[in-house]
Amino acid sequence: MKLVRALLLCGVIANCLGAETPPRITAAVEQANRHYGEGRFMPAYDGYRRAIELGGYSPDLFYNLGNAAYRLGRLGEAVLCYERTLWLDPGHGDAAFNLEHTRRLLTDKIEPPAPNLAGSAWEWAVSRVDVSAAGWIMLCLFAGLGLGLLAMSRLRLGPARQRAAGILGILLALNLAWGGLFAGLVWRRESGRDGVVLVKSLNVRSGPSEENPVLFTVHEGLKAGVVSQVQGWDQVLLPNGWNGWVPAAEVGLVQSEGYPR
Amino acid sequence: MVKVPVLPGRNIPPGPSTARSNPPGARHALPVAALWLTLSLALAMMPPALADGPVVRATVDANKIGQEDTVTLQVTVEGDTDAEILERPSSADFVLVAGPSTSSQFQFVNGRASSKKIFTFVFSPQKTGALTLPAVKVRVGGNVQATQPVAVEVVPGTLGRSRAARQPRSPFDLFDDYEQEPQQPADPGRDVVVRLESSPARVFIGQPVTVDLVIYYRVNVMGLEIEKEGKFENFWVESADPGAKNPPQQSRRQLDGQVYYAQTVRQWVLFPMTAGTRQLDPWSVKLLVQAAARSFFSFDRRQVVIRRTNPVSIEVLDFPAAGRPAEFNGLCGRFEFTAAVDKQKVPAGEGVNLKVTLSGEGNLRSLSELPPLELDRCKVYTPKTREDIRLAGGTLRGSRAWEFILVPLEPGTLRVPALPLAYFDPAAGAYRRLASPPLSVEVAGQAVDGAVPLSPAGVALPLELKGRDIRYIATGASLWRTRKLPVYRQPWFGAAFAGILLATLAVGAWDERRRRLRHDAREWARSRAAVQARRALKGCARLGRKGFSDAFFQELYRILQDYLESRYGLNRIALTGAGLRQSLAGAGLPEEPVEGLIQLYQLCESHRYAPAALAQQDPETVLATVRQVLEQLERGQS
Repeated sequence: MKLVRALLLCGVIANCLGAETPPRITAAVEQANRHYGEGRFMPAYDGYRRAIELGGYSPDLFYNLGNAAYRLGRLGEAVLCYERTLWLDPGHGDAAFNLEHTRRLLTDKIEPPAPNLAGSAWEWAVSRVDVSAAGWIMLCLFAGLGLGLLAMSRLRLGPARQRAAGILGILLALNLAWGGLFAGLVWRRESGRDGVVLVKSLNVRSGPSEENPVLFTVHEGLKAGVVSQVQGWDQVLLPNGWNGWVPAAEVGLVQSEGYPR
Repeated sequence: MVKVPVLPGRNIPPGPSTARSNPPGARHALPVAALWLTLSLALAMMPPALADGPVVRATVDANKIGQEDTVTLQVTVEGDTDAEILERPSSADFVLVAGPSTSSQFQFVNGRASSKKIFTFVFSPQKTGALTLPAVKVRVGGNVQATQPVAVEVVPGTLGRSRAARQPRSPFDLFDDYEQEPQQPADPGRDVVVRLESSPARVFIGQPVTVDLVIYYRVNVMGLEIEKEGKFENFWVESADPGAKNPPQQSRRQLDGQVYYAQTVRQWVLFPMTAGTRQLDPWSVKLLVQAAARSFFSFDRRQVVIRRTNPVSIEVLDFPAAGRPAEFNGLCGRFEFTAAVDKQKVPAGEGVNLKVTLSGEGNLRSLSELPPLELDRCKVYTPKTREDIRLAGGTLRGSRAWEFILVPLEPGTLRVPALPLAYFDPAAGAYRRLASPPLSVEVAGQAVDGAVPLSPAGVALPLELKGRDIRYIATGASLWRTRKLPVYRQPWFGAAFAGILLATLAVGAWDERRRRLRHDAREWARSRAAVQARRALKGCARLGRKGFSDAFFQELYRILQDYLESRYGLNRIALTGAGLRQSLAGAGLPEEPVEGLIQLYQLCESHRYAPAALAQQDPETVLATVRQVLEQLERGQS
């Protein structure tokens, strides 16, 4: 029990240490919020960008930046910010709403292949769980499993030991199930690499240079998988299976520590 | 049959020649001449069919047809039964409706064999005039030959080229007819006719016109398919599915003096939207018919024919200008107009349902909105529209209802005035005026302010979405968080898992050892001897705080005896100085702690006999010596 308390305490302390924010970020965000509220979206956009440059990095900050970009007509950036918000916080309802609203205004409408039942269930599950919260729960479940093992080893044969064995079995199953979910969340977060077109119109070429022929043209706000990168060019894969190369500078990355890449 | 000139054909470029010219020289002249003579004789003796090579001919069954007829093109290849069609012939003038069907014939005449292969195509003309049947490319041997395009004159309507009308060429050409019989039977002509039939031919705007697509036939029709749909421009079309309920039955009708079976396959009710003479686009229908056998020895054959509908024109009259009411808005037919409220008495602020219903027959759907309803000191919500309109009897029948919610704001009598409506009655050729009955509702209670949102009891007000927009920005402390690694990427996260795992394993191992020791009492006592002795020494130290006493030495003596008994298995009764040294030396212990232990033993025993001799010593010093000796013994044992 002491071990669990110690672990929880460590976590709380770590969180508190991480929550410390430089006052410049706070000031930049508050000022940007004021500008946005007064309908001055360009200063608001600049304020949010400045907060990000100063080290601000939160789902709500990207959400606000997306709103400012939307008001300025930069639909590509808006989509990128909402996608980034949802990457950081899959349960961000406002970002999901605004993203759906913005997508209605986009030129390219590519229907992804319908996921099967298992895929739908998986998407439903991972879109509702934050990876950090899942990590904490995984830690607690693992500690519980260890304690359960120790408790069971101390019990003599009898009804109490049978009950303990049942509880231990449940704990083990929970650990396995949650472990799978947690591993999936980590894999999804680490392996996924998506790009969003930031310019009004973008030619997709057959190779990573301007000399290669244009295969097709995509438009602002289209989200595509980035499957490889070569010297300033990204190879993008569209939901319908088409793929080609685009200049990396014209595509923002969803899963990134920087902005827009 | 009409013969068509044969096209020489286009040869595929020959491959590289394998023939070599003989080198000139007099000494070779004789053998060459002999070879030439032999070849000439052999060629002269060969059957003409083989000597001439394959011949391709194209024939049509008629050079003049009606637009509703079909023309059959036969391509005959003589001398090669392996010939094949390279591609389906296509043309803007004709549509290929059947073929190619193939047949092969062999003949033996005067000991000479001949063979031919016939490809048969059936085309349907797309327009009238001097048209051209497309060329057909045939692969013959190693060459490709193409027939010459064939000119065919197409006139409107049909020439009625029924196979039954054909006569034998002579009393003796029965077999000739059989020989010339194409694989595709001749067009059944007027045995199958497709017509668009409309009624009436002269209507007012908005007056329904019934249009039927009818097939007239005197041969067996096995199937049909709409080849080309005509558009009903300038009409509002209500389509009736004849197969859904009460499908039209087959009937016998007369057409151009002939009796046919008639079957309606599609029905529409058209409502003209503008005045003028309107032509209905023709429809093209592809039919699979079963043609009768040509002789007792042959079978009935199936054939695809294409038929185009007859031209249909409808004269649409505008509404008369004389006597047109101001409220008239194009409604045409015969209608009734009613209105009713669901409550006669309500308190102010409570909703009343007003239902206005237009029922009857005619273009009900053309009336989209009622005139705006404005009532004094009463809030009127946008009405919901319900309709129950069906196609029956060649027109639309049913009703449309507008349900208003009225919320009176002041007590008194709420009066709903009569609502005017006008329509045109085509049967009478005159306008009619209607008005809903005036209604009144008693309003009780106190006046309410119409500016505040009302929620009338018992009435479900529809929510209206005025627009769509993104949601507002987030505010609050969650905004200014800095970049933070997710928990699984922080170093302590993995360490915590490893720590939990190691702690569990360590505690488990410790528990296991304890459990194992408990099963062996001797070993358990041995392992616990030093711990028990140290604990007992703490109690002894409490006794020593008061100075030396019997109790102190008795306790110390007991502790040493217990320790030696548990740790080394010595009998406490036999623990004397010499025996103790011998026993401990046998246990392999170092000499120094053994001597210390013997001295402590002696100290305890001497207290029994000369207590005064120990008065100068401190009990703490004695206990410290005991602890040191025990420690040395444990260390030496380990």
